[in-house]
Amino acid sequence: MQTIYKTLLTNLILVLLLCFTNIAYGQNQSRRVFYKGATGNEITILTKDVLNKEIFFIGINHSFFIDIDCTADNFLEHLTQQLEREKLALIDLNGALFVVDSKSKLSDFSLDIFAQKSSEKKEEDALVDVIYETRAATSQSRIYTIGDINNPATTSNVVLSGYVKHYSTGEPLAGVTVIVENRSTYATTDIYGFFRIMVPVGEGAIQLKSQGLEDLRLMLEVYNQGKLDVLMKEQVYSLREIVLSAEGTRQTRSTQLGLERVRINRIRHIPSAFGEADVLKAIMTLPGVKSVGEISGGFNVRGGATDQNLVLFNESTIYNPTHLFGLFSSFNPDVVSEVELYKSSIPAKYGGRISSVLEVSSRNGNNNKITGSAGVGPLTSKFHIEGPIKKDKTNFITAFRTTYSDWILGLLPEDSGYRDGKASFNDLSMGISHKIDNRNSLFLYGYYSGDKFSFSSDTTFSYQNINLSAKWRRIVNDKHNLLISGGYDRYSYSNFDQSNGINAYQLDFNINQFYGKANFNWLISDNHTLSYGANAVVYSILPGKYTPKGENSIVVPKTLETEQAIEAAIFISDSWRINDRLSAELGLRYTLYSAIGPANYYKYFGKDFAPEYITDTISAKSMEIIKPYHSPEIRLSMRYMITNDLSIKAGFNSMAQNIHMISNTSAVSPTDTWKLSDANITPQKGWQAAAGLYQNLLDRFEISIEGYYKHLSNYLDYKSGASLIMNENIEQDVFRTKGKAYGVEFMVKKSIGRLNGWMAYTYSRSLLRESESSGSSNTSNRKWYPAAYDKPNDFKLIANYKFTQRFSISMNIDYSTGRPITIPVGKFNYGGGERLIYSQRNSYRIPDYFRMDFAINIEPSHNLKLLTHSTITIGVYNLTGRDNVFSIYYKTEGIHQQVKGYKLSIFGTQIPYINYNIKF
Amino acid sequence: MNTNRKIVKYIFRVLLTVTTLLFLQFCISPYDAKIDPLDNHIIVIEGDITPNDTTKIKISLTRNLDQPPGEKQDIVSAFVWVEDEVGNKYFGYRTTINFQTYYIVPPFNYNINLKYKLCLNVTSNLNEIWDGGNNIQYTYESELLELLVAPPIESINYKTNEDKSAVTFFVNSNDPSNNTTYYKWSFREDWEFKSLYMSYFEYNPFRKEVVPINSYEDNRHICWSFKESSSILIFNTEALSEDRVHMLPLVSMGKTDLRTSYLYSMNLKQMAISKEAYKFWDNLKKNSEEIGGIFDPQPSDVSGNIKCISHPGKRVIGYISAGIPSYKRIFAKGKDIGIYKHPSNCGEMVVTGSENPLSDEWMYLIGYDIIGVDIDFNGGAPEKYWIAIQCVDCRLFGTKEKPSYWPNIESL
Repeated sequence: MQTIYKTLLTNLILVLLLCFTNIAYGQNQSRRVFYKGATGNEITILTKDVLNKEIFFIGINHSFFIDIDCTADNFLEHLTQQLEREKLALIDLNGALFVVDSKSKLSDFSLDIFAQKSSEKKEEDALVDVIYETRAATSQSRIYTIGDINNPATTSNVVLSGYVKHYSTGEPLAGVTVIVENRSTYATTDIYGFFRIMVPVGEGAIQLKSQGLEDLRLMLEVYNQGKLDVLMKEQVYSLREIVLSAEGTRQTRSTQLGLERVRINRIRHIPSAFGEADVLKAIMTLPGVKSVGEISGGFNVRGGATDQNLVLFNESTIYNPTHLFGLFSSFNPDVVSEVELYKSSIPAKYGGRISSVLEVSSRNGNNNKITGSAGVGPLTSKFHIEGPIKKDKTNFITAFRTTYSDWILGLLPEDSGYRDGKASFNDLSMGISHKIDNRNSLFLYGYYSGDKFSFSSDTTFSYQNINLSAKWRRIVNDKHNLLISGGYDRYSYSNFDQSNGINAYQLDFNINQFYGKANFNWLISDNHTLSYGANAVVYSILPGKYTPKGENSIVVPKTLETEQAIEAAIFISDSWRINDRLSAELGLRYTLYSAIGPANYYKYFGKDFAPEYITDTISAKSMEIIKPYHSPEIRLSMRYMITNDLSIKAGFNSMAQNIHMISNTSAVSPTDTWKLSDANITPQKGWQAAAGLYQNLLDRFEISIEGYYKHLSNYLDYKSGASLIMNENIEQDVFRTKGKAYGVEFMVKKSIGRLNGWMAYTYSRSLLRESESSGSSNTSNRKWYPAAYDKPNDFKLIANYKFTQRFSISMNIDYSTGRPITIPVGKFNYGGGERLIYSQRNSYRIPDYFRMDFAINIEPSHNLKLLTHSTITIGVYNLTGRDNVFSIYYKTEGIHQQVKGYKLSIFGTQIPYINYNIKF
Repeated sequence: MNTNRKIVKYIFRVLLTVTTLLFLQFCISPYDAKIDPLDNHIIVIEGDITPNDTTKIKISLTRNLDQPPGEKQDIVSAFVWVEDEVGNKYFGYRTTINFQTYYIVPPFNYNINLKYKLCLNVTSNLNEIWDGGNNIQYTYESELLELLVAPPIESINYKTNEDKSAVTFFVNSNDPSNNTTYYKWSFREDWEFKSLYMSYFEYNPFRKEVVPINSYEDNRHICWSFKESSSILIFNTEALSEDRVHMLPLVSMGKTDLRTSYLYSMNLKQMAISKEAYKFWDNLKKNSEEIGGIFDPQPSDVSGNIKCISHPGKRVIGYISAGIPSYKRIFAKGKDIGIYKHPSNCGEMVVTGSENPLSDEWMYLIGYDIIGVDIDFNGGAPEKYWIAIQCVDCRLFGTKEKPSYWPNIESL
């Protein structure tokens, strides 16, 4: 496959090239060029004559003579060959030709060119060009010169910036730590692989480290500010070698608290229920992240609710990132490069959710060649392809995944009752990145995921995410860059039921949002990096549309009023290196939010939203500001390095959230209603204070302990017997709660070596209480009650052991206290049957949860001659076969109307799986 | 709106489907949580004010979950009356029906324009555990209720499913004046059924001998049985353009259900209820059906429209409605329903006599009953034919008490 593509491509390029040559140099085709013993000067004249191009000789110290004997159309090729004999290299840079000493330091010549070319181009621009187009730095034994030797800097520190890319695919590498040797300065590459760091003038070295990549040490000779692109190779696991790693270093040195980063390679090695590498399930293996049950869509970060997490996929907000109601995450692992979860310190550029930010970034396509992969698992099959559209300019990546469960459903026995059922889902991701020039890049992303279920021909339920986004990234100058993005997000669900012709209906719900973001980054000095910008979001929610389905239906069509709101935010934050040991991140964000008309709403007397307290009905006109809410937010964190391997951090973060998910189920269900803050419903607020201690041990282990206290307010809970669907005045059926959560997370992580992984223990509580200000009397009489995801003890172990580079085993252990539930504690006879009385909300617990998984991963060999590379994962989910309780329910049954309790386990036994993926 | 509930059910089914199709062990097993016994038993008041009919009030206490069903906790020391807004009182008396205590207010002349409320005094005594037994008098009152007049029931019909394994009865109703919106139903079912074998003999366990049945009235072949509905049957037409109930399922029966065997009758009572009453019943229904799954709604509190006025804040459960219900009775013949299959649990017929000298008493003790006696006129021991008792004695599943209104099947 690979060779076929190669040949095809080469042919294609050749054909194109030939056409081009014919057009441009047609008249010179037969002309012979002959010159014996040509010197540099003579070659310049010849080239101008034959190709009408300039040629520059740079940094060549020895004299040479070459013989030229060729035709005009193979002149360039011939010249290259002849120069090579003299150990000279000919480089074509956007049409300009350069001859350099092939042994010379690559960046040496960069500025000499300007002496000759500066009349045409601005100095900076050319600098960017040259560095970008030449082979990037990758050698440890070479000294790279930064800046113009003739124009040395007057300051002691200068800016070094550049891109870190993958050696073979050219893909930008995010999360690579760049460390200036013998200094506490470090930087991390962003998702474009871009870094910027202050380096001291003079001789020095930088180190580049990242998990799964070979560490790189580059020697520098710094004269002035400059750029350096770096290529990093994948780590080849050698059995003897101990490879230094960066992940640990980063955690200890970064200023942020509670930032977790997981690379897709790691995610692939975490055993999962169906062998499908699952981004969200991987997130749940991290300390401080919990979920209500084994199958549940949402996740809870440090005691926050499920709707308080901002899930971003390439800047797009994904409202429901799961398939099959939470069995799978809807991110195709083939396009994901890494996942970042902000649990505590949330950068000021993010806002809108009060608990966490989960940023899933997709990869950029391979810059060099067309590659792809295909995979089959027990439930899904997937396909992905990527490659350059225009080499080094534009590339694409696209992936599709679908299920064939319909087919399996068809195999089920007739009396199972599920044969007529259909369950299908699919997702599609697309990404195009285009380099406009060396300063500007454009990225386009598209995402779709959809689920559809039907149990018979007359009932169907479906939900979809659609996201489109565009990003423009510009390097304004050496110290300044900007990122502007915009897009459209949509989440919708609909269901219809035609089982009773008269009552047949269709229900639709959707959320739409348009957004624009502008983020600027400014490296002011060695000690300050400023990040600032503005965001705006326009929301539009259709809370419900209920329409008759079919001819006989007498359902009255009813559409709830569309809710609109606008949210605008500005932010500024400074990364301040106070001294070598102390640094701080000071951020401020200010959000202005308002629901906007047209809208009709009630005004209530006091804060009790009951029909009897309605004092007025108000109609807001189109675009009228209904009620503005101002939310200043503070994002602070500090780090102090006690020693080079031991640091202490503390932080305080406050956040606001203007969109609420209102649910009366324990887990996220696709039918949950989202509601915007309006005249009656106030935004949710939250703050978190956290502190932690981080230690690197023997360069191999990272040990951390982090504690937090979190406070939430205005989180909405529903009143007894509330109906949340098609509810016109939802404020009457909800009440506000306060929440508090606290905990301590202890983690040991080993990112490198044959044995790698992490072990985490968390003790945490999350409690809720009805706000004093709300007038409803509900279940818990304003006492604190545990949230549905309050699981105090939590232990997680993720381990991977590499026998060879190709063969590894993985193991998971997951233990946690059972989740709280409300169970019946008494019964009474009513309406002819036994009815139940329940305990205080969440005052009982299901049994503790324990699960162990195991997987064997056989990865492709790195033999490049092979056309395809296959990966096989064989595993067992729930190795011990423990029947963990998923839920407990009570049923009244029998002629005596006895109330009996049942427990339901979904994965009550070992679940073996095999997954086969092929790469080409 | 039942939509949410419905969707949640689908979701649960999806999970079942998905896990089933993956050939996973999806297991449900009994679960016994250690539940603390209730420290406070709450008083429960049930009944509707129906002035054109008897008003039947039941007062009971909540019980611990593990309490056996036989142990009812009815309050027997109450004093009940219905009062209208101008102060007229209609007193009730205590009675026992099927071992349960009820307070009956006989029909009274009502004024449709007046509002009515239910009142009761309960004196605690030492046997009752809901207040510690302090011999205190508690007074409860419902809110004043408008009499809601239910429209007539349009029809009750039934449908068998495709493979004839079950039958479901449905109600259709409508209110041309569009006033009702919230409906509640309850019903009493009566059915006549027959044992598989008709015997002219029976074993008398006291005399320990087989005796002939002399009167046809004493046969054990034809019996009757009855049942009150136990499901919460409610519907609202809020979302519909007409106040119309179409094919609302009331009860389903399987093919071995005796109700489908010979003659079945249902007397359906329809009440128009208020929106608040609907919410109460809907809530009760949600709380009592399968609950506890992560996609199920969290259970919520039930209370109602009745309050303890002597001791404000004392908890009480109960929603009292008032109105003029409508009734409809239907009959359905087993052969018309056409699904009944005898469970064939009769076993082999056993013949005792000279060749098989098992005693009558022994046969009775191991669960057989006599279906026939073959007398040997030559003076030998008679041959007796025995079969499993459930196929002979219909009284195992009902009584010989024929409902007063019961028709002759041929007349239908």
